[in-house]
Amino acid sequence: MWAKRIQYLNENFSRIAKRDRIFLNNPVIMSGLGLAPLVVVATNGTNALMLSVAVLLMLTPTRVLASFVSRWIRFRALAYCLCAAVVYMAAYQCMRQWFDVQVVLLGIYLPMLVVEPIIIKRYERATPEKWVTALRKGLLTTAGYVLVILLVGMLRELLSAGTLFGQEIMQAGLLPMAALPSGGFVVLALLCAVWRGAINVLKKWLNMEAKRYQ
Amino acid sequence: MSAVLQSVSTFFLYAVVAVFAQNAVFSRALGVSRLVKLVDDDSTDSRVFCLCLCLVQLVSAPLAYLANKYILLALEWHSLIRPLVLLLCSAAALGIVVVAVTLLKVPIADKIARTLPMATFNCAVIGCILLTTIQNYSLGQTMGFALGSGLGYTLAVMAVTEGQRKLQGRTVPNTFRGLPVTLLYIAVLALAIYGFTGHMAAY
Amino acid sequence: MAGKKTLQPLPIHPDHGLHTDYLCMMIPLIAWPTFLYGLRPLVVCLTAMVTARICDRIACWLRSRRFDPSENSSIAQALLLAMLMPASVPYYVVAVSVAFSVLLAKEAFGGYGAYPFHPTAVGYAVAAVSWPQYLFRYPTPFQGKLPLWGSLESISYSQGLSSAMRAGGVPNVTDMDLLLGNYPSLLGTAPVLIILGCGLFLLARRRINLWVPLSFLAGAAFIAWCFPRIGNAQGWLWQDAAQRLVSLRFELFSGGMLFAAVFLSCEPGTCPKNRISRLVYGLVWGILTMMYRYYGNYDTGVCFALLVMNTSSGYIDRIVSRLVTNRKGVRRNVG
Repeated sequence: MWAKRIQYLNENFSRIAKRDRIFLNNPVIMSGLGLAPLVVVATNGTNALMLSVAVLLMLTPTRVLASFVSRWIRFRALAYCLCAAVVYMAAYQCMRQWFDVQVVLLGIYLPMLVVEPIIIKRYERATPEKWVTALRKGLLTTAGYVLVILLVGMLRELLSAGTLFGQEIMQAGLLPMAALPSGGFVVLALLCAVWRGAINVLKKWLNMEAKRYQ
Repeated sequence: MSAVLQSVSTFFLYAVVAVFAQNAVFSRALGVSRLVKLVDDDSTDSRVFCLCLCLVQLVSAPLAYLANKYILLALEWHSLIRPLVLLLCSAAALGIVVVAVTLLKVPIADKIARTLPMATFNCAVIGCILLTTIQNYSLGQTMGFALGSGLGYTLAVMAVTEGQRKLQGRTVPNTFRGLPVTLLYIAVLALAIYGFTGHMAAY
Repeated sequence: MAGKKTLQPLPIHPDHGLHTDYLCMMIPLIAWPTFLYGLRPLVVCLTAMVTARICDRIACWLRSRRFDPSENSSIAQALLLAMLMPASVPYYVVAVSVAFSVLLAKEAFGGYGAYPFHPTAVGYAVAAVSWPQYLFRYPTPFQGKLPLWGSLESISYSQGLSSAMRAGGVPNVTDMDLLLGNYPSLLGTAPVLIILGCGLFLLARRRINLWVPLSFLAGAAFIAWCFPRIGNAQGWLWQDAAQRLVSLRFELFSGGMLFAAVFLSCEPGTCPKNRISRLVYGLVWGILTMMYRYYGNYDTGVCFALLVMNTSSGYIDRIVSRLVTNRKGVRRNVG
């Protein structure tokens, strides 16, 4: 039973990986989407939380709405961006309701989510998608992106100030540079490398296990 | 006369600042996702992309300035519709560039037309006009900043493309190949720019 | 009993001699701050070297490679990084910046020779940006031995040269003191005579080339002569020569300029290969460094300027090669 499962996973690894948008094919780690807010704004846990809520509110509704609209507006890029801008209006109201003036901490990166590749990337493919597919893929992509935002935000806060969501964990930060954009690039690069290394280790283990049962 | 000199010097000052001290890629990470994809694959010509980006930036900046002055500042709920209005400004800029390029019968017109959507609905373009409208720049400052922003992005593309010669070497560790090592390269350049200004660019 | 598999000894790394020479040059350089501040400079350097070796081992383990003890570039670069810091720098700052420079600036980019940026410059940039309060705080010389452990808040600090130079004033340091390095500054960048001696030695052993350091100093001297920021030289370029000479002296002998010219400029992986491109590289680097010093935020702008120049060294090489190739496609001897 276990042997069959291992063999199935090993043979179809690339197909399974493509569908999994949280661990094996994370949109940030594998495709490099949505880097701008991660690098500049996700400097502490609170900002990361606000950004996650914003992406949660915007990504799936935009994708579902655009799957309908792009059937009539042939210029897909504009269709997707317009849907995002319309959804933004509702999302911004919700954010102001929940987070009040702290939303200003996100600066221009909140309105810029309207053209952020992670939200509108689907326009590059010619065939319009069914709304069910858009819903499923949107939710999975959101989950993957939110995971990375929270991880990066918490890591950077820990490294730069030694705190987590404002609670003090260490006396001082290990690397104060982590609060700057260049530190954000470095933290993201290291996270990418470690994540991809973990996926490679998993692949090798699956391969070895499958050979054992052959 | 002195007013003209004043505005010209403001224009150049803002352009130089936007190229170096407040570089779109290295100081504000605008358009990094697109940059990383651009230097990696050969299907899009980087030079055409940068040209399109600069053109759209230069045309959308005055449109955004006018939209800000007559539409956004007049409304109370401007933060809600700002992205929509600025999006329509850049879409209009795209239309103007397409028409101009077609009318002038530029030899690479179809290449430009294919690359334009990618270059217009881009964090770098929208980010620049968001900055100029939120901070209420004058027309001269907006134009200078837009020019500098486009040129700064082009410089960043050139710098990262140049670095790819070393980053695609055989000795780079497997886990670092591709995205991580490019991000590290951009990180070091961002550090060099930060060493000049000493503070983060406002956003 | 199965025989133990013996590994063949690795051949000596080709650049082992180069980095051993750099390490030997650090010995006369560390003598002066030891004289001024006691044993703490030695412990700082030791921290840097030990951290570099540990990071080398970690990198070899992570990459499943055999550790090559004759590849000592990390130790040399870590020591250069330690020399760019003041004697009162905390040990963890040295350790973190050396770890960053070895693991990220060197190994993540592919190991020795494959990195696009000089690891010492990257480590210094990280330290300067993260802990400016420790890196630009100079202990007063001759105040007795600096404590080896514990906090250094209670020792006395003085302003370095750059605070006076930024305000446009001439620092209150005599010429002899300037040449000997007898003023509050970094560990290894102040004693001009020792650095010049080290430079001549490295030149004689063909470890560094002449063109990059000379053109770097020429570019910086050009800016310091034509647009001085200290003293009140006015008039045309040949007027007020005495004032301009003062500016030249202070700009070239302070802020790690000579140190960078001798020790950081000719790193084999990041330096251009042709003579003309070396001249151009050094000249632009000199001018860029002066821009960083005049308008930038940190005292030692030379490392940041080096990072910017490192991106373009290959590009300058290619442009120069293309320009000096004559029409028939035969390359002229460009050196």
